[in-house]
Amino acid sequence: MTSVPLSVETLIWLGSFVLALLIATIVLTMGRSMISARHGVQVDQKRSALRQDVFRYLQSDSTDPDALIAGLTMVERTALREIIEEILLHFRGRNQVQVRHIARALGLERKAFQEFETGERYEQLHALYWFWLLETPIDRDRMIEKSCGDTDTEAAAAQVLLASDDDDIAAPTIELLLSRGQSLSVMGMDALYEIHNDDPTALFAYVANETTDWSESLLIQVFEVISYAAPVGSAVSLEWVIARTSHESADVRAAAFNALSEYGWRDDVRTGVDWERAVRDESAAVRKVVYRVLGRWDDRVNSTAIAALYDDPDDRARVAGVDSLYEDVDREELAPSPQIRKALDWVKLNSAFG
Amino acid sequence: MSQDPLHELFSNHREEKTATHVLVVDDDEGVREFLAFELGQEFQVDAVADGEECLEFLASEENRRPDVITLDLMLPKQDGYKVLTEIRDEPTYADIDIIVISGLGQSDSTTKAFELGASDYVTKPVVIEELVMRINRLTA
Repeated sequence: MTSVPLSVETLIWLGSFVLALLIATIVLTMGRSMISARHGVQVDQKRSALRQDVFRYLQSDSTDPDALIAGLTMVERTALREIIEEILLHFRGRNQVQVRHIARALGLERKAFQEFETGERYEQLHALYWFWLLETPIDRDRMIEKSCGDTDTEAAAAQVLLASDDDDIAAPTIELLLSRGQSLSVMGMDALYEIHNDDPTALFAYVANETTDWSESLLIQVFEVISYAAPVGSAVSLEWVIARTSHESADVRAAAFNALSEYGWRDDVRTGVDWERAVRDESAAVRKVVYRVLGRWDDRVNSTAIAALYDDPDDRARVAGVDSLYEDVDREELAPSPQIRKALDWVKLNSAFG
Repeated sequence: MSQDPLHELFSNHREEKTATHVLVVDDDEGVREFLAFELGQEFQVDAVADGEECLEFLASEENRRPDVITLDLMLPKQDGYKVLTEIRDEPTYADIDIIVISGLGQSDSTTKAFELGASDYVTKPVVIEELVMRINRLTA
């Protein structure tokens, strides 16, 4: 391929064009920033006076905010929106109904519906945020249908569903969060935790029939939620968790064992897990969790753990094991090995300063 | 020190009510003013924006000593824990009840606040009726 050299004149024209484009971009950006900053200052100036008007309206017990809103400029409407957003975000209780009336009179709910139905991802998230703030009653199926497919949107929709007065919200919300088998956002985990805390049976009922190939990170997140929430009763099967203590991923195995740490009282957990194999897991991280879990239980299975601990080749796992099984390891008749004695000395020293 | 603009608006209303005096400490102007407005319907309320202003308010002889302080944890300059510690280190403030208000609901935050001498701990979003009842319980 042959290249044609550009003439000096063409180069100057090209250079001038690029320079002009650059200057135009800078001027445009600065102009937009200045307009935005000016708008921000104007909103700030209006906010304080408007806040007093809002307080007067709230004190009047009126549910008709038209007089408050009538004649407001765009800047004042923005300031008013920010004031009610602040109140709804930080407070609950009396006056909330009146504040929601202001929001509706400002058209925020209508705008949210519009954004949710026709907007892109960001607009939908914005809409869901306002649904959540205003506790807007939404058609559950429509919400799930429109939110499905994006992790953040699903999590936001889950929060809106949980804030609603709808009965039997747990199952569809869990379905919304977990059906794609992908990892959850922090907000999604929070929603799942909330559901699981209110009704632990719903999550176990869902996972018992779960056929999707879940990502490792989702499995770990679900086990995390289970381990944080209060233990479920004997009527709820933990088979799904127990089965994953043999998962191919060490991280998943460790998370599954951790999720069982509050279930030492259940025979199905004690007999369902192969503890002999667990304490000799190839992963030191898994063994650390297993030592900790068994250390929380009584001594029926601890002899297995202690036997494995003496042979444990990993220093950190040994220290974790000694720390968790301290009471049993410290018995003279067990004649700890020099390695165990070393770990024991460290644990004692550490706890003395702990 | 910032003067609460709600002073005038609700002063008459407050005088008819109980003499309980509440000091609201929150750097967020909107939160501070709304809290002062709501609590002002039940109690005598003053509001300041940070820990320094809070300590200055307490030290000033011109101000009436509050019965209860609502203290936000996330404050500029020095956080709520530091302010709590400084108030509790001063024996003359021992009779002031401090309700910590925070967006943090974790047990280590609550434990730390109680260890440092908080009388109560409330998480955001704050339920106004609940906060009023907590103040009434503390000052009963």
